[in-house]
Amino acid sequence: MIVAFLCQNCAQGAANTAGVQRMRYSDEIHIVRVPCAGRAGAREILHAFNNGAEAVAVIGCCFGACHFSDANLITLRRVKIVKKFLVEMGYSTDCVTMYTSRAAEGDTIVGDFEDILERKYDPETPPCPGGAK
Amino acid sequence: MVRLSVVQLRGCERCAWDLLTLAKNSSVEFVSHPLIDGGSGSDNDADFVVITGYARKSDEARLRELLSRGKKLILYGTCPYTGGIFGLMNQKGADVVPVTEYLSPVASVLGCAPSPDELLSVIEGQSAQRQPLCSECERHFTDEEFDKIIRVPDWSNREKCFNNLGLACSGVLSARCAQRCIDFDTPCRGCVGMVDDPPGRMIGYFGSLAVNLQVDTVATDCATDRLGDRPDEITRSLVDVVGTFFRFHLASHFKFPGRNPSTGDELADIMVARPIEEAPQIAATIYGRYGISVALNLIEAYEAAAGIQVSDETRELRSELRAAQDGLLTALDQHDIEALEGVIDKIRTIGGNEVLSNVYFGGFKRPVKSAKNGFDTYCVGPLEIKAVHARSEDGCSRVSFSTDEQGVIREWSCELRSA
Repeated sequence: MIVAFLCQNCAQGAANTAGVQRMRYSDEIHIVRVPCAGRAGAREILHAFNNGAEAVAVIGCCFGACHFSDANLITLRRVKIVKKFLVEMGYSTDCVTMYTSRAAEGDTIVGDFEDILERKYDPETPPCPGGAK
Repeated sequence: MVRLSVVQLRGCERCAWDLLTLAKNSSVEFVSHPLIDGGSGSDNDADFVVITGYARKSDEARLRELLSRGKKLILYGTCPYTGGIFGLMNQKGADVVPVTEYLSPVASVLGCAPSPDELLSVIEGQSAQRQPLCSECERHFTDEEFDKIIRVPDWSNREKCFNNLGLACSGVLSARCAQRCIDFDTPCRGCVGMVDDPPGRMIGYFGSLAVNLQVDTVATDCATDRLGDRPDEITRSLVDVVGTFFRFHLASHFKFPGRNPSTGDELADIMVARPIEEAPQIAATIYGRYGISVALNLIEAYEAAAGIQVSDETRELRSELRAAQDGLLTALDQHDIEALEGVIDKIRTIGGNEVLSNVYFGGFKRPVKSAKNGFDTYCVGPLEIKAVHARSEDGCSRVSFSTDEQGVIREWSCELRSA
């Protein structure tokens, strides 16, 4: 299971656009809509891992286009610290990543989802906490 | 008269010997105490069973048996509540678990180590008074974001909050405690949490203040951005996220054991991967009754290897601490409670608190009452972080370790000698 925190402006908008365009993405992705990427921090990411997530993605607005000032930039730093935490624990750096997307372009978020899956199944990297590769 | 039975699980025993000082109190009687009867005493007549120390998964049967006796259980110290500092072993694949996974206490007295007086007030029915630590800190918080993460504070700036300076301090989500590291220019690591999920909240808070730091990003195929994996300012300067944000909460807030190889020694597993500037306090904590000796050997070994000069007054104060170390071992061996109280007072006077927050590389962080000369003769200087191979020994322990270029301990061995 991959948990994706989608901000309701750009990322959820992109997912809606992808849906309207009948684009396909893996059923491993579980979307959690959040008001802003800034709402998904270390607490939510670690909570997802502790409850069985194999990888976590936070997807927000493009840099400079956050609907809540610069919260996506703050989340970028928080996610980087969580990434470092997982690496220090011996897990893959790809277990958690932050992406950006554009609401009008569905392929931006579908591309993000494909990128998450590709990284999760990369045999060259260590596993993620929630499960084996 | 309240009858207490103390159960020591695993760990440093500091909480157990602190509790021993309650024996002088006329309102308390120990029907069983591991440092008096070796844990063989019966808790049949006990009003409360006080649990100290950390547990591993293999202790489940013992804990369930404790629960089945129907006694009122009180957790004493952070270890039984969250796994405590020993939860850091989980980074190397251990299975430290909070005792609360198996039993429900009537009360918990948190701290590393807490004050026995807090236990008394809990027994008397008063709820634990948890005041925010920040309200008592002499440093002041502003809304200023930092431009870089620092590892050692500027000893001359005692006005500004550590978090504004770029040094993570968990005091913002912790409660007042018995050790008060913040009084000795030592950032809080959150042994008395006031909120749920302290590490997650602390990363969120510190990440918010780190908004000026450069973070690596890469472009995706769709011309959007993704967080990159190359080293950047955050990964280079935050050398120990586990030990900084999860110091007392790793076992309770991340349920997966780490995949790093174990060194074969439980305590070495905690010391490896810790940055040198945090190591003395961690060593003083986890090595229990030998903590003073191990911490001082660590400091002196690094000073010798890194060429840090030490004044005669500092040496004098350290030798007083070593005398307190011998006194502590003797008092514990002889169950001499009066001597034990005296030694704890002496350790607090020189070392600041029981986990030696005042003792540092090159000197002391704050003035020591018993010093014969002025503070400028033994105050701490700048700490140069470098790769070293270092060793030192005294009558109680022999320490040898090596650090990498970032000053992170990569090899650690410590041999303890009985007095």
